[in-house]
Amino acid sequence: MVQLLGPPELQISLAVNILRILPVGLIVIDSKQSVMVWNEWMETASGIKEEDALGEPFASLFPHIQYGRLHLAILNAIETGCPSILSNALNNGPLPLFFGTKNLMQQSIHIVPFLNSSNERCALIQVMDVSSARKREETIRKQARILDEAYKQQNALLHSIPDIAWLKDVEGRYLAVNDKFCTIFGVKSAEVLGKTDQDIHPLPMAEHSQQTDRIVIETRAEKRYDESIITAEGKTIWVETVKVPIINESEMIGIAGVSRDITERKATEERIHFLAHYDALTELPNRFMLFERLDNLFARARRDGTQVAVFFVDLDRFKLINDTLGHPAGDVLLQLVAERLKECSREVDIIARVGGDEFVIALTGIREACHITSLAKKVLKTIGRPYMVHGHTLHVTPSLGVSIYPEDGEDTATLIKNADRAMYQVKKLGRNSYEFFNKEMDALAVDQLSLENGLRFALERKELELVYQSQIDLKTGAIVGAEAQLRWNHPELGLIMPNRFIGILEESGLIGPIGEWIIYTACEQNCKWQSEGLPPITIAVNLSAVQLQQKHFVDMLSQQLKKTGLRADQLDLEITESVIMHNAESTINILQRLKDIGVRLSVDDFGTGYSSLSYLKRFPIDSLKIDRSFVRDLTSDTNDAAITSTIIAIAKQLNLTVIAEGVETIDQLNFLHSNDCDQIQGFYFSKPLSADDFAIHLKSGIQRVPIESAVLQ
Amino acid sequence: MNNTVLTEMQKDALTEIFNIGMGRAAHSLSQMANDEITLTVPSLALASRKEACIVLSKTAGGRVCSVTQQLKGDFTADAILIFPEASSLSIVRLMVGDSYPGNLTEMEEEALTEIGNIILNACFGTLINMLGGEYHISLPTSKLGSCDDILELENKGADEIVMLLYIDFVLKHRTIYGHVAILLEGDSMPNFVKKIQEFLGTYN
Repeated sequence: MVQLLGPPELQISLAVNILRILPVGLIVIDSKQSVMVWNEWMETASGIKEEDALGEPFASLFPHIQYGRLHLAILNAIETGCPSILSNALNNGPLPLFFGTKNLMQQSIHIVPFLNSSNERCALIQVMDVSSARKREETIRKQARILDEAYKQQNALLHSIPDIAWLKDVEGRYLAVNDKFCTIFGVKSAEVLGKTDQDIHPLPMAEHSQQTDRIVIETRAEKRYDESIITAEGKTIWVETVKVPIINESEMIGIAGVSRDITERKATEERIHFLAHYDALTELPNRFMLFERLDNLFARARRDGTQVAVFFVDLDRFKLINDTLGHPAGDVLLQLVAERLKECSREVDIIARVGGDEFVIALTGIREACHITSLAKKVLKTIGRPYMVHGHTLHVTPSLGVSIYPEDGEDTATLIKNADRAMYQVKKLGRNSYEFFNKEMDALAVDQLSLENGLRFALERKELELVYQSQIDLKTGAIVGAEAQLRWNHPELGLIMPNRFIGILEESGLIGPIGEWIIYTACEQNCKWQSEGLPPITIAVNLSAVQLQQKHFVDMLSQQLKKTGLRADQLDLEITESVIMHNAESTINILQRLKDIGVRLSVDDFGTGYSSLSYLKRFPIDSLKIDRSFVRDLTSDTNDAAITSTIIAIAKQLNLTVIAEGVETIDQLNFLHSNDCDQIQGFYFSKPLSADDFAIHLKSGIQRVPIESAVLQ
Repeated sequence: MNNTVLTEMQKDALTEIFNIGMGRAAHSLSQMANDEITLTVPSLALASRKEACIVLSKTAGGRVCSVTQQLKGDFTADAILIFPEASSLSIVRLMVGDSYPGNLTEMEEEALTEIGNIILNACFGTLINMLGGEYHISLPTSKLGSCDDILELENKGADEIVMLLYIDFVLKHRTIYGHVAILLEGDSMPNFVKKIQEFLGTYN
């Protein structure tokens, strides 16, 4: 309350003067609403002079206020004594007091009733210019609206993300989550806001999330990781989560996160991992995985000082099954073989498929050598049992090579290589068996690689040569034939015998061109000798099993005969007993076709295989060659002597010519002669000779006198 | 609650008086909002200041917006209009026809004060018209805080009788609840009751 001092007149004058100069609009109206006070501010704002306003009815100065809010408020003040506030926000349309279009000020008005000295109710109307406040507020509102839009955009952005997305403050409280978040976790956005992970997720999941939040806050760096999460349906899904710090003017204000469902990608990755480590057909570990596991196995064996056996298993003639019954059948067979290998081994052993029909077994915890042999025998027996595939009963046998850690190698690659070599040895020795690796095989194998390379160029470099060993008729003593034998004059290794490289020729496919060359050369040579006036003989050429399987072999052969002009019956094809007996049925067919051309056919190395006499009868063959191993011990081993005489007897029975190979002594000769052997071949008469030397040999007839005497006595 | 201070008939009469006032207030507000607003006082209750705080906290929530006007004359009373904070925002923005996030601005607070002023004036106006007498009524002031703050529970007697009016404020098909608390100070209650009885007597 303001106290004015002095006489009443002065007090009034002072009060009026104060009212006049106050920087707000002040109007006092009496109970009849006539203007009693009109201050300077009102003069300036309205343009109405004090003298023009005083005594005038207030409504006449502002006609537009009739029955409006201001008018009612004035009435309310004068009639009931209630004060009013007219806020700018609610009275903004037509201004409460209209001061002309040039002065559209934003106003806020207070109306306060009071009683004058005559106890009449008057009213003080106070008008305030709030334009600047209004403007300030509009600016604030505008900013607020922009913020609001930004917030809405942020939300729209968040919801448009197809992944789980959220914003959290630094305390880990959710500020915003998107629709996907709500769907996956089965929550409503409103329920989540302000809550933490612990309120929403199972404890371990919440703890993991909070832990990564802390890392992001501490490092102020993005964090990216894969994790499994549990959905509202209780399903576990894999997500790739990215958490990013939200930093405002270097202050950390929160974390934004996105989790992308990568369940499918994970499954693919697992599949890829499986495919990279396992063989899809048999589901056994593949070569890669085998190496990884063997490395570990050997490391452990090194520590424990134990042994590990590596078995290299190859299926014999698997290719034939693939070629004849098709790959699907071959695949089924491989699956069955894989199953049986599992049957053979223990859980701790490793079985892997390392190639088409190649498997590796690693055996650990070996206490005695017999463990290894018993597994080898078990594999031979189990794999050797017949299989039912697509309605066919199939027989397949394995060849096993075994290498032992640490004796045969210290690392995986060496041990597998050596087991492979041992297996290869089994193949050479007739398959369906097992063999332990030894150091000689290693040397042989190194050789083989360089030999194979050399063989590729041997023909064009003219390093190959045929030599000829005579075949003598025991009754007449005449040279009746010659066996052509292959020799390789290696530029560095010197002369190499065929037993060292025939296998390589067969495996590498070089047998095709070289075999053809042998036949051609032998035939041509025979013709040449005859054209030189030498006595006609048959020329014998060894055939390999592979050659016999060649599609156009018979055609090729007749072509060569035509080309060289050699009479067919002057060519003798030698085929080993084991080749003939294996696949006897299909061999008979080929032999018959060869016979039809007119060439002679001999069974080489007779006695080493398991010839069936009934088959032998059906083969269109002309002669049997007794294997040199029987001839060697003829005079010292009664068994060999008995076998030899039996073979000769059988041959006679079947009307076949018998030739004995490797005859070196007079005793052997005598035995054969007395047992009625037809022909002989061997060092006793002549070693294999070059074509030119053989021509001389043939011309001069039998050189070795003892035979004359032996035979012609 | 101590309802014995006023008889049922007196309470009915007061409710009627306030409803007439609300009708006038609604008329004013409807014109300003350019939309129909209805305001009714469905009930009236008496309680101690402490009880009133509890009741208001329960219905209006922790933070409330208030507009207060004081009446001095044959009896002295504070009339306090109370809205939950969120409702006050809704009312202002529905009236002003604007919508944006955030707290009440200065201008909006003034607008809310005006709305409260209109409602409280209506209460006072009809009350004075009916009961007669000369009163001084203050300009409205607004305040934001807890019910305890608004009712000045700490400064004033906790056992003083408070008259509570429940107000339904229907705006744009939304019903917003508010309260008017009339706090009669000191020995004002007997005078107030006497005035009501006199008013009823003129009709009997």
